Amino acid sequence: MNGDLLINNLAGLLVVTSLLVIGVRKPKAAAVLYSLQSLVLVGIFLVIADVAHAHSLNEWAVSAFITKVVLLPGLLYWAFGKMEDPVSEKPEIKFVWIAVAAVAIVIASFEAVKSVELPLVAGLKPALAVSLGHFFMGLLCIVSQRNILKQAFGYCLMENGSSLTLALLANKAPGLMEIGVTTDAVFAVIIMIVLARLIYSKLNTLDVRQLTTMKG
Amino acid sequence: MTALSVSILLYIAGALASLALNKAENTAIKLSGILGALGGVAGLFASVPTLLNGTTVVKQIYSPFYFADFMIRLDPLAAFMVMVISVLVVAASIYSISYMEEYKGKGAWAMGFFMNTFIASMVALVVSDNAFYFIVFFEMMSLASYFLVIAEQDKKAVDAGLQYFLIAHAGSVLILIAFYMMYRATGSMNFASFETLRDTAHALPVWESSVIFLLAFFGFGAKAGMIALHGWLPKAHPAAPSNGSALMSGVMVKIGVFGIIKVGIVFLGAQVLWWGFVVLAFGCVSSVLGVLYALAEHDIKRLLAYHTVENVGIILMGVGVGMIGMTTGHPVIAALGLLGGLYHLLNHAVFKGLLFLGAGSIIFRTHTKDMEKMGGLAKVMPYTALAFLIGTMAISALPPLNGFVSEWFIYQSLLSLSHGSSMAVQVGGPVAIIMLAITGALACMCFVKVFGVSFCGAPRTENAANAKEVPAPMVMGAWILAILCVVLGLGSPWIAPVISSVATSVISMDTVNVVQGAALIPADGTRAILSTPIIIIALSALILVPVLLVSVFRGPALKRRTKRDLPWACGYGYEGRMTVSAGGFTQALRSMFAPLYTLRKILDPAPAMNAVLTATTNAARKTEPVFDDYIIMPVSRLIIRLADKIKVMQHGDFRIYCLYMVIALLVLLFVPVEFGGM
Repeated sequence: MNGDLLINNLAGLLVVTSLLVIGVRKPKAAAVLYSLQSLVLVGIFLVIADVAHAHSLNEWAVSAFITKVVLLPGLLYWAFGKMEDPVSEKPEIKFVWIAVAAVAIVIASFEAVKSVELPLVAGLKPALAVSLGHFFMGLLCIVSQRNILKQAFGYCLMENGSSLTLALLANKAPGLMEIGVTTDAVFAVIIMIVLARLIYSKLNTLDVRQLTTMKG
Repeated sequence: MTALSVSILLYIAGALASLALNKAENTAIKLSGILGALGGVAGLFASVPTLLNGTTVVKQIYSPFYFADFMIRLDPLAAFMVMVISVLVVAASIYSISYMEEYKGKGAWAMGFFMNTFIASMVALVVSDNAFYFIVFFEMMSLASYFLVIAEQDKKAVDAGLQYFLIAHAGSVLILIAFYMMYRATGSMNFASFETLRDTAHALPVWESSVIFLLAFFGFGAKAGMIALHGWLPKAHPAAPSNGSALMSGVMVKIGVFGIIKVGIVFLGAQVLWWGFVVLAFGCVSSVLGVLYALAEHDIKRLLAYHTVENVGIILMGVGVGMIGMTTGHPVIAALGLLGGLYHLLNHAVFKGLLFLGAGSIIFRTHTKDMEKMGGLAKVMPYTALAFLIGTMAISALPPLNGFVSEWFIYQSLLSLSHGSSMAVQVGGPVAIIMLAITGALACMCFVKVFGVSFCGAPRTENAANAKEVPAPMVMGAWILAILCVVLGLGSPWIAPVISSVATSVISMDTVNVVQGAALIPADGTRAILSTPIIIIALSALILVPVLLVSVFRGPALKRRTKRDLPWACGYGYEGRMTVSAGGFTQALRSMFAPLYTLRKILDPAPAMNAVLTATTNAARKTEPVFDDYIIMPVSRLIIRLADKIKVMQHGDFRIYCLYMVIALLVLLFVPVEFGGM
């Protein structure tokens, strides 16, 4: 099988998994699905490393496995165990509309990358479109969720999108830099969890609708 | 040059250390005092060799501004000024170590900062050789001293500070215009190119150089505190802490004189005869009026401040004679006048510094500036009293102390001037001599009053009776200057030639020989004559004569009275109130010179400034509603209406805000991409 084709297909799988992360109701299930998505991302890294002979990507794949597949979902899974707010789990938008929005995002992203003329990604335009689209998927996640902790997944999806962009366009970048890119997400999520815990301990809720006391 | 940089760096270190240690005031006071004193010592190391060798060092330092070269020039005149500043700084800084305890909890650390900044800017000012940097340091000096003036933070000090601030800045505006005119004429802001204006080849038209001279004269004159522009000085100087007053009165006003010498003589070469007469006239009037106003004062620091006006007048007389001598082509008179002026500049710094430090010591113990509330302090503060006495003798120009020497040179230059051929100098010279003589007599009277009323007699208040000697650093600071008063007097045969070479370097002529002798008029045109050692011998002989007479014709005498006995009071019981008071002492004089005292009220700029301020506020009050009704209110109503509409965006759900951010980001990304090529 052609390497580029494999990468594009895996990228497609990425879109499906992120849609699942956004759509699933139970927060813990979302954590598991996010872990799955990250696993797909690690797979993409490995394939790119093989196709483009970029050995530093292998190191990155290892660090991405540790941080994105194990640490981040683990942290969030643990946090969901500590803080429960069933009210906030009701979705703001019906899943159908989320799916429609996702489709729209994917189409728009395909249109957007059409004009990109880079020999490096000549055969990988679908994957590039997915990486761009993930930024908006993340945004979709943030906007459609009421649970602030689940909104953290939105950030994680954006992270994955940007990681993929980096792997596609700069796959020969030094390993250290890429490791840095993946680990900073861990710190960001830890801070988000701390913030969520502070809010939870004060107001006993994770529902965005309740958090409007700062409104002037 | 290295020593000079070390000196400035030490001042800056003192300033910053004081600023950083605002929580530990004790350490801040000590550090700023010690670093300041060390800076002064380094300043002496920088300036004295230059003075002795007569060399000039010019150096260019990196300047961040393309239009101004940061030129440093240590020529004899600059070295002389650095020396004067450094001498006084050493004494004042040592003094401040104990004196600033008084200001603990009132921002002593901030005063340490402003004091050292003030000193550093003065040193930098006299050595900078570029108009731009000169002005920058001039402003720094004015600002730092402004904060020293308002140190007490009561209404009086703040008012004094405001007046000082306004006059100082009015002065710097005039200076700025003068510098700008010279810049326009020479095309460079370096003083080196300003100096070309003194050559006849590059000389400006007379009217233009006269305008420049007058602008600079009044601009710097405001800083020097000469009469008519002196209003701020007796208010501002007393308000500062005493070590600050010492520096302001002793050194800062001299920056004004320095500026007048720089522009009038070094840049413009004293081309026009009447310039010298203007300087001489202002000098005469300042000296007489200054001392008269001083006589009427009861506040010891205000009195000293008025004496600064007087002494600046005396210095200006010397400078004026120097300028007249230059214009009329008499290098000897020129050098002699400048020698007298510069020597008096140094001497006044030393004895006025000493007197302000002494006054500070008195205030430190009695907590009052009013001399009527002192009295009898000589018994309880003997060291301070003796140092103060030396200071009063020096400022009264009693031989053989330093004040006498410099005034002698000025007398001599005026006498030589009176020999001139033109009518103007034949009349002007003697008139100036008479003015100087009146000044000397009145100064003597004034300081008899100061010393007598505050140190002699019986204490008039509880505080004065319970006073005790001040701490060692304060005694030391005063005594350094007291010893210098004697050294500068007795050592004049060796010191005058050095200052004379500074004077001749300023007028670019040969050195005047200062020879030892006792004739009043120099026998040879190139000689100035004075020998204080001979004078001291003559003086001791003068004292010896009455002693001899008494011992020969002594009849039966009363037993020597002991200190404990009360003075005889015509048979009445003696009371402290019977002591001569400051007011009573000068009563006769004040009625004699009544018209001149009313002149002070006329010259005081405060009422005029008040009137202007009231008029401005009234006008502002009238015009204010116009702006309100037609501009401010409509705009604010529009804003409120708009805000009501925009409030809808303030949804409260932060997810909406996330969307706002992304939309803003996208717009900002696309606008440059779409329209960037336009």
